[in-house]
Amino acid sequence: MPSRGERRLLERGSRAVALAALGGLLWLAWRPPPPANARVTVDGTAALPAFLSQATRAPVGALALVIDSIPGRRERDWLRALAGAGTAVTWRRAGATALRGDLTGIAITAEPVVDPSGRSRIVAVGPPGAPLTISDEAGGMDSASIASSGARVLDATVDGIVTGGGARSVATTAPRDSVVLRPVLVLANAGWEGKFIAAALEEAGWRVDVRFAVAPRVAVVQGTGGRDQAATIAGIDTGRYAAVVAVDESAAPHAAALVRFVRQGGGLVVGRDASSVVALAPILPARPGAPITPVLGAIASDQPLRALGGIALSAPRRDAVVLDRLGGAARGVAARVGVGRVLMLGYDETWRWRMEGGEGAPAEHRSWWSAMVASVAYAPLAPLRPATAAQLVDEAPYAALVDALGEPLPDQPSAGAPISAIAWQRLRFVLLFVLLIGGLLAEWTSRRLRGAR
Amino acid sequence: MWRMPAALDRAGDGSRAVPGAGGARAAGATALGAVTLTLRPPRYAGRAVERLVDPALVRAYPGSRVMLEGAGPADGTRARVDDASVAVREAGIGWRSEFVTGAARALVRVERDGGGARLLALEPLVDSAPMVTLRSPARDTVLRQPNGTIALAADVRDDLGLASAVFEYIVSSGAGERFTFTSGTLGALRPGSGREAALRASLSLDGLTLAPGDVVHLRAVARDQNDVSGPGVGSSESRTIRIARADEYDSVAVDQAPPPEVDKSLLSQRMLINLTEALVKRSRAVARTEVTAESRRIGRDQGRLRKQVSDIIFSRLGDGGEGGEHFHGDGHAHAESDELAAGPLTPEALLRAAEKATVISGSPTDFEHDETPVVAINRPMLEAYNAMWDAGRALDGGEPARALPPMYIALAAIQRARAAERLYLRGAPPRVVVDLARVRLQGKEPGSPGARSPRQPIDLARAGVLARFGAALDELTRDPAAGVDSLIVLRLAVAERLPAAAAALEGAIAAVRASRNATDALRRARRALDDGLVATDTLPAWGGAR
Amino acid sequence: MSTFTFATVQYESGDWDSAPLVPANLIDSIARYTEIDVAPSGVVVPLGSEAALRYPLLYLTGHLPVRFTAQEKQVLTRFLDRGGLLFVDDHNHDVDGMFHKTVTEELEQVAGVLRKLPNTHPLYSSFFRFEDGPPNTSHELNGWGDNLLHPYLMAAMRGDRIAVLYSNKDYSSEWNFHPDNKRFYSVDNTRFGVNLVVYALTR
Repeated sequence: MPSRGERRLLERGSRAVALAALGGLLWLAWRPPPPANARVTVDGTAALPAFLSQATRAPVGALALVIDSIPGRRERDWLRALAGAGTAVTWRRAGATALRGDLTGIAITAEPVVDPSGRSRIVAVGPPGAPLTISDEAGGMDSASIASSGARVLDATVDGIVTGGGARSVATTAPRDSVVLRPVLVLANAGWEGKFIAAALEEAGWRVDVRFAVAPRVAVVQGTGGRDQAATIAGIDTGRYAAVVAVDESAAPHAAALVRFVRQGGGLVVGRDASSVVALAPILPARPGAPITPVLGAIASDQPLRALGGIALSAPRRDAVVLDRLGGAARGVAARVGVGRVLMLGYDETWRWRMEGGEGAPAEHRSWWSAMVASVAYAPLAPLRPATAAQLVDEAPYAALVDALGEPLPDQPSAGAPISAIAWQRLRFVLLFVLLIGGLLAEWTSRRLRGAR
Repeated sequence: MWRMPAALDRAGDGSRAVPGAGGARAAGATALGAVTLTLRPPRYAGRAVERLVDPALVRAYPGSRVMLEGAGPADGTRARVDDASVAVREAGIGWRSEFVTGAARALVRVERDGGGARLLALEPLVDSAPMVTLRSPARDTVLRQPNGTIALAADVRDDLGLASAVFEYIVSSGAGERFTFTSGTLGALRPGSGREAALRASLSLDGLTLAPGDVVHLRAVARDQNDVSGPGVGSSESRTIRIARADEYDSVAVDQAPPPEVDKSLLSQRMLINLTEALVKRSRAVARTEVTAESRRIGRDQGRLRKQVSDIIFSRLGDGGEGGEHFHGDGHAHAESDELAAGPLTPEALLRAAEKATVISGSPTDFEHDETPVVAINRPMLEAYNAMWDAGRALDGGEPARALPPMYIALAAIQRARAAERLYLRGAPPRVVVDLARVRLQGKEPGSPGARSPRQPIDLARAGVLARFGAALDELTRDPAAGVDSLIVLRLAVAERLPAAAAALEGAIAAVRASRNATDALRRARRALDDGLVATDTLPAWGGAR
Repeated sequence: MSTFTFATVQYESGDWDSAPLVPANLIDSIARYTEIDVAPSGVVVPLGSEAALRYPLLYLTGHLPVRFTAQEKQVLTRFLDRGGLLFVDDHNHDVDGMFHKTVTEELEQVAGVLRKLPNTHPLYSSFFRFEDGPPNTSHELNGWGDNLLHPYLMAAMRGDRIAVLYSNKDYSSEWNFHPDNKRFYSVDNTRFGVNLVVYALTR
């Protein structure tokens, strides 16, 4: 049995422990910031929001973040703020190497399509094979796996904010601009090709001015040319036209104006018969090449353009892009000329596609010509929404994460189970509480055993 | 833009639900109460009367009688069909309004002062025209004689009910610019309210007093019982029965045409050659007089054949062949041309006549491989004619052996003509080739064209339709009844152009009105309205706005 | 090259080839007044053949009853829906004639109702100006056929474009002469044909 003195010593010790524990608890509750060299590891993106509020109250010296999905914009900004306040933040991706691919995240943008449809082109990029769902505020738009190209492109009418992503990464975007589309001028001799090009563009929603040459100094005109029957058209400039379609050699009297128009930034589509206009040669992206023999009977097939004769386009300029290739021959070549664009086509009688093609041929012909014009059209942007909308979107969360925190650390095996900052915090509370209760119990028991109150 | 309040997110998973319109009405937004619609289809439809309560969409045959009824006073209650007012009167303890549906889509609006309004879309059901299939005669026919009886048979069918069916015929007589026509019907059938019937009759050609060259056009026609927007009329394909002319020479697109004359000439010439060859073989064994007599008999047949060939040539030159051949020694006097009247017709004269008949102002009217079709066909026939002439002279002279070479030439020429005949069928009219270089811009009057006007865009309305849809969704969150009305109007607007979207909207309207979750139906409608969504897996190499 | 070729429709019923010189005459006029690239001779194309779609302007005439086959109706429907223009002329010049009665019935089944074309329509100013609408023909002025002067042409429209243009004026007789004989006319009576072609090629 311990002596009375020993008991008193024990009781004082127990009380001291309890008081120390109480003090520790009080310290934990109202403690000053942690020491600058404290290092905390957060494992899992889901734990991040809770940690961030904790770490704001009790700053840590270093944070090692292991993510299994891309943190949202709010968390990223918070982490960036922590890093700015002095916390050394590092991060790496969790999981097996094979699974880390889709943690490079989804990025998505929406920009206006240059045609009168009012649609937007949504481009989502991400790791090949990753599942991707695209939706806007009116519901789901597309669901697919990202192809080997790493991209998914959607032309659609967009309602509100567009969301794209899979299980581990979600990106959002919204169109910010619209395009200013001015009319298209069609220059042609009176004939089926000019008629049906103008018809296709008008039906697709383009505003079209035309000048169909019928006889010397006689033309059928429409648009700002008005009743002007003169051989030249004044005012072919980007203030008036988005693009000009030069169907045939009737464009020759306007060649100088067309060259000037392109150098200003305008778009020019040069039809097969217009490619012989000498004055246009300096701005053509390629040269007229060998004649192409049309494939009989192909007009109603799924490759109706094979049925059209014309020429192959040869010797493309170094900066030219082949937009349309058929059977090994370039049939549509585009290039920038100054700040403008020129598209050269090598097809004869595309109107036959509309008249003789299979089911849906008129719509295909319409879309094709609309796309040809759109590919060169001068279309300045105009802001669509207030800037606040842009603040709501998160177009490239992975890139934003790298921007906020730097590159991820190289993959490395974990040096043991990381202790969560929250868990360690709780453990300290529990230990101090146990010490407090234990100390008080020990003192109380000792005093009861010696008969004291 | 559709921005659904979080409180309406029933699923709690982010999907948005739309409250029922009925719920909003229960809150007292309208004092109109339930509207009962009684639809009485027209008699021709043969359908029963329908009663519907608060319908959003009513499909009815044109001519249907619609009766709208509801509780409350008629005074202050108004009804409109599109822009036309419809009378509303007291009926028992409520109000009643009646009207007849038309053949176009319409919007019906019932409203009450200080109360609510009810909107419903009327969509006409289509009464199809009868389908008629002509079973007999199965194909076009050419007859040599205008007599006999032709059996006629047709099957008729209608979606609602047939009123009558009949065979119609038209007889056209004449040629060139002068035609006369007679018409009539046969085998009238009144099948009552049946949907199918078999039509049978017989056509007596004798009774039509047809002449050579006449054409009988036959078809079966059926009418349905639609006495409101119809009657719908359906007809079969037409068949023609043509009576061959004596100078018949068209064998295109007919199956029972008389054999072409050239073929007959071919057979005859071969037969004459056979006879002549046999005579030459026998000539050493028989008396000279007998050979001469036999040779002259063959010569007369050769002369008759030559006349047939001449008829063929002249019929093509527009003479019709009626003048017959103007050959040496036939005793006829003809005056079709000075040349012909001048005496015996030589092959050269025939050729010149042919050219003269087909050439205007010195330039040929039609060419094919540097030769006119008339000449191309006639030249071998003229050669045949010429050779027959030589053969005939030899045969008349009792020299069958000397007649054989020209007879062979005649046969070969007829064979060539037969081939040419296949090239220049009746279906090929004369082709005149214009000398463009000679006439280009020789006209004295200048043109002065008016300005062109632009075509209407096909899809321009799509963005507007989507905007209206978004506005309707906004309306749904604020005032479900008004939102439903907006969807009804939108559905009517797109019913024809975007039927898939109209169907999805219809489902959404029904769901909202029944207080069901309309989210999926509205999503489907939204996608259908944006019909042309295009998805690809490649980034464009070129393009974009500047 | 986008050469205009004048095409005459061959249909199963009737005498589709009743005005064989009209194509040459109009081709001559096109060359005479315009620079339009035109083929020197016309073609004949069966209406029941897909080949009809190669010629967005088709000319149909005749005296006899016209009954289109199912195939002809199908091709004609596609032709009109895709932007073709069918010019139909009653060679009988007779509203009581069988050509008029039957062909209008057939056309309305395929193309919709034929309505009067206003005499202010752009067709009448597409090249030459015809202030009073369609020019009269000598057949009308001489009182032949139905003994009527038809003040309007009829048309079935697609949007604001003419899809089917129907004439009772018998231009088929009026224009059915060899183009060389144009020199005997003080006023070229085929000028309206130029308007028709220019309208088809530019509108």
